[in-house]
Amino acid sequence: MYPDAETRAKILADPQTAPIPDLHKEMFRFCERFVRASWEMTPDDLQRLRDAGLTEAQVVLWATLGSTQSWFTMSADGGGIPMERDAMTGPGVGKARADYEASPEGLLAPATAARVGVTAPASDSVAWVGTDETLPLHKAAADEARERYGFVPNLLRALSLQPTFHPRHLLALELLERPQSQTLTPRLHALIRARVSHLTRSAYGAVTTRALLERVTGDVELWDRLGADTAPPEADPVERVVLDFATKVARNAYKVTEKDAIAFRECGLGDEGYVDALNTTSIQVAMDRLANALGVQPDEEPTLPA
Amino acid sequence: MAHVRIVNEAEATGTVAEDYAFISSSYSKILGAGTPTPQVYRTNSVVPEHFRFGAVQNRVLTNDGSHDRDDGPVPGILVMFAISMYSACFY
Repeated sequence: MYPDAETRAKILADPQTAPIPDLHKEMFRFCERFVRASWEMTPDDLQRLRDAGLTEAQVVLWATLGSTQSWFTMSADGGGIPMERDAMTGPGVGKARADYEASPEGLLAPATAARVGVTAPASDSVAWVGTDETLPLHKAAADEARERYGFVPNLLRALSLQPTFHPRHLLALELLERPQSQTLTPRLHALIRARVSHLTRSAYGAVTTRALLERVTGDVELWDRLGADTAPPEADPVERVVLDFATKVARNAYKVTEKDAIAFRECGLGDEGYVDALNTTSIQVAMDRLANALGVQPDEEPTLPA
Repeated sequence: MAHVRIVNEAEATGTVAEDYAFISSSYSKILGAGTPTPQVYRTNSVVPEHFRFGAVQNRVLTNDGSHDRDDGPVPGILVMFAISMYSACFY
């Protein structure tokens, strides 16, 4: 894409001043905001992409790719995988890390300044993007979701212009419904999801994570007490390990080390519990960023089976 | 070294074995025959449901392994690179 080493170096230092097309600069800007402060995104973030030449379906595609790659990055850093080839991106990634270290919130911090929003979402729309719910692939997925949840989640409706990705979104919602390992309890799982919603400031995700935590614990105030930072006073040692880990992954997954996995083993959750907690966190983050970036209106009901 | 135990191809059964086969075949189409499943998927192999999620993501990203999706004016891989860059993810 960029055969010239000097151009690549400039991109890694600052894409906005690099000699690349304006559309590419808009793409880097969109991705920075998607990763670092998706809750600050406005309809104007999407309008900028349209103004730069993207179609409505391509806008949805970029957000979808952002969500999928968000999972890959957290899975990679949380899994502690070895590099398979030289890190040509090293200098740029190193710069990003240095920037984040200077911020109390790390990755999840205000990024590129927003332009004041110029396009308010219509009150009757499900998101800031256009939809086409007549596409056959979308209709099939919508039917599947309706059967499972009793309604079609607005997130799925908002993504109707890219229906080939629907199997991924449906599986993500399904995996988030309950723990996928024997060791991560429903309470720990619900605590993780709720913590992530606080960190991503996702109004969309909060509808479900609040309902799930209430359903699992019977405590209607726990979601509010949980917050984005410390564990609630009544949290036991295992809950503190899990909540600290989820917070680290959501804020700065690159800070995860083998010590985190060891902590899971020491408190009896094992590798299965660790992988389950990692994926619960990373899928929730990925879906929350997607909902934030596209301005998906919260559903009236949680995306949980009855 | 990975932080967790990995169920490799030789040990894998059921859906994990199926997903290993699909992911490897998908990458082999663009990187050459016999390309193994990349590390990023493997660390989820102790929980088959999450391993399946990685495989499904590869399916939708590659149009079921055919690698012929129309990305529009910017290659999708560049969008994904930008996400990695701002995530400070070396991988």
